[in-house]
Amino acid sequence: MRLTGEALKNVFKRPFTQKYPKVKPIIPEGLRGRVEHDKNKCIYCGMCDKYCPSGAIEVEVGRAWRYDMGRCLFCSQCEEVCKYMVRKNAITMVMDFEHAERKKSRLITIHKKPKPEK
Amino acid sequence: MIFEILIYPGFVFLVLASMIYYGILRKVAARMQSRIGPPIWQPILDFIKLVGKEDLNPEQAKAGFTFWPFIAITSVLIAGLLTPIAGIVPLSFTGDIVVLIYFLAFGSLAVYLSGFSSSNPYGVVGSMRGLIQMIGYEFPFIVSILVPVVAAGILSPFLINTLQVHYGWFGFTFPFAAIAYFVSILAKVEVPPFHTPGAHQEIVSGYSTEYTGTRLAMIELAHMIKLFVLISLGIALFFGGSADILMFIVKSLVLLFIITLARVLVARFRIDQILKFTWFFGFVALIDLVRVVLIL
Amino acid sequence: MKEEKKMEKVKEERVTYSLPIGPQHPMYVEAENLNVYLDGETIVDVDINVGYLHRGIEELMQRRNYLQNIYLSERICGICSGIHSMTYCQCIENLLDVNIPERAKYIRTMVLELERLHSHFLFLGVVGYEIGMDTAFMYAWKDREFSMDMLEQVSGNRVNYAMPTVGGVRRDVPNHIIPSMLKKLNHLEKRTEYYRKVFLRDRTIIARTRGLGILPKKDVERFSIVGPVARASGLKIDVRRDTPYLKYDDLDWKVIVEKAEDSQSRVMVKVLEIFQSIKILRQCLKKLPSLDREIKTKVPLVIPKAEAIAITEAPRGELVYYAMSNGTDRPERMRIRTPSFVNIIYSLPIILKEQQLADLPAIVASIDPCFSCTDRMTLIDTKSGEKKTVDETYLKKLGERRLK
Repeated sequence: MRLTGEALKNVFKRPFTQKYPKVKPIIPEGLRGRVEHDKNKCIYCGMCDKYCPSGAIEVEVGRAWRYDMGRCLFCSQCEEVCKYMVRKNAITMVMDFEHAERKKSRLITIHKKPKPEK
Repeated sequence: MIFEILIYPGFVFLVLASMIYYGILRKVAARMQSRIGPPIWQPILDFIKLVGKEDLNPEQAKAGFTFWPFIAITSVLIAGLLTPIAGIVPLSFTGDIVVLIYFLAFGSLAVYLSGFSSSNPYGVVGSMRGLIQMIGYEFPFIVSILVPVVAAGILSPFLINTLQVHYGWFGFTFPFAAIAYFVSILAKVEVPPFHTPGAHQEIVSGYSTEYTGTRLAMIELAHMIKLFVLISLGIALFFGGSADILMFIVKSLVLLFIITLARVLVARFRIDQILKFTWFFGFVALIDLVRVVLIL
Repeated sequence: MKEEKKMEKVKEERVTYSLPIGPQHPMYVEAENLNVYLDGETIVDVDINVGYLHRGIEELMQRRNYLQNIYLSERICGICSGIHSMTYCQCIENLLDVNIPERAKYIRTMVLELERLHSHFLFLGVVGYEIGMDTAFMYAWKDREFSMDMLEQVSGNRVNYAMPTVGGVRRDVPNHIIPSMLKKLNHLEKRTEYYRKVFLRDRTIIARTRGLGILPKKDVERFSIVGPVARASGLKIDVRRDTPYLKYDDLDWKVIVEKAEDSQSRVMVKVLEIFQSIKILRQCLKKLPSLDREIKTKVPLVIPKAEAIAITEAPRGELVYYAMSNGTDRPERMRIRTPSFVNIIYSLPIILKEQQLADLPAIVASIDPCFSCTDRMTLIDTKSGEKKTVDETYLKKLGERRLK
């Protein structure tokens, strides 16, 4: 019966839980959310493909970059590789965390290498 | 008469009110646990959903599997008709408190028998525990009910209700019996610390493990109605009675709040601890019974 | 085969029936099977079948490169994910024989202790839930949320932190989050004091934990049971003290030992360890701003032939990683020994004997099993259905065969 005081107090307090889709939670800075890829900065070298632990990123070297969010672990290894090994900063993790989609195919992003401007 | 039996305070009112009361219980419990909790009409939605679901029959189940839940709900509903709710008893005759005790006990028994008939090991263990628990709580329940009955010299809860409205609370004259009655409410509706027969973590869902669809809805509904009936019986016997609906609602909500507190605050008893605990309160109630008998 | 064994047990006079608990059961979050043989409500014997969650992680590790393995090792367990990846990194650093920067050491220590906080709060909640006290569960998990928030602040994720990398840590802890973390720690300390009182004094909780599930000290020594379970039986072992790693030997903290050997003492060990974790965290946070900004040393990703081992104290006990490299960017062999394995396999049959069925969930929860860590090795001969216990002689024979 040690919890009595706490329980009675809680009746008049606001609940700790939130009605999520209506009330958005406060997200601390630096959350590893969606992977964002910059078409133009990328050199399509395939290093992110090599170090992606789950095979979410596949790169056709020199041509295209394919990302499957369904397989992504959100570990940000690709970001790190791009930043420190390739030194291009083409991949960043943004703070967006709502990724649900109705169709599996919408989870896949394909970026083709833009044609060089003449 | 027909209106009283069918609509208010008969079947329709009983079913709806007990669901809403259960919803309130869940909501308040959730707030005590610092959650938002379901809306108070959630039990009604659950009931509608369950009725729409498929009834599954396990191969090993015995014949009683199909009808025990319905018997449980019927007997609990009849018990509800014998209980004074806001000063009205739809079905009233002399000596009906004995019948009431039997119908309430039979409601629980039918539920446990349904567990046995499902032939599921969890169901069997749950029902076994339920029957042992019955041995525990029927003693304080009956002794505590006997106290106002002997004191008033009437066997009708309706008359005890009116008597209390005019001459004051039996709960104050016989506090021990009132406490014992309250404990046996908790045990009868399997509110913590007495939720051993359906102990989720040990035996999955106890007696209702194999049940689905309408029959599960009936078991759940019987449970809710039992809670409501026991609360209104408590008001009629100990807590000052109720002449009008407002009085009834206030008193029953206070009782419900105390039950919610018990539900939130304690851990589950083991079956041996339950027997010790309930029989202790049985003897506590016996003090009052002895007092009554000696005074009269 | 299972049926035969069951029949054998049933033939024993006392057993009236047996009850399967798991692999699908509300008691567990994960899948595991306990076959309980009962006399009425008293447990006569228990069969433990593990292996439902076997994922072949060691084999998978040998197919991936050293960086990819960090994230794989993290997914061995959902609760102690941090310690797995840290131990993995430590093991690889031992292979390479590199030292990581001071700041990285502090940040790693911090993440590990935050994880211990969240794991212990989770444990308190689970114990409350298993004895049928949902409120304790809700409250403990509500407060666990604060430690999760801190982890999110530090690492950018709530469960799989992906904090360490071979040669350091991947993210710095900025100075401006330190005050808010200290505030949360103060709140948690207050709450822990509250839980200490609740779990020590609440009469209904005592009725379900005190004097139940006794695990004698001599059995702890005999079966080399580790972690808080061993400490609750009066054995003073803690990898953090015995073979210090990271910054544990520089920080001020002490090993918690309880002598009662029962469920309650196992709970109390964890509650008191939360205080120690908070103490360590405060020291780390105080030290952090004065340290050099360097968080990572450069390491080669192709590792020459070597062997290494790393031992750490996970929230549940001693965790061992063994790695063998072969001159490529993938390990030749990885071996992981998790604390829950010993704790479950050896202690459950001892502590469940002659207990009530109703106490089973609370007792099982009190040793804080983590089944997904456990499932690494069961041998079942599918042809004959014969089950083997893997013992020392068997392993030696295997080794000899391999050498030939």
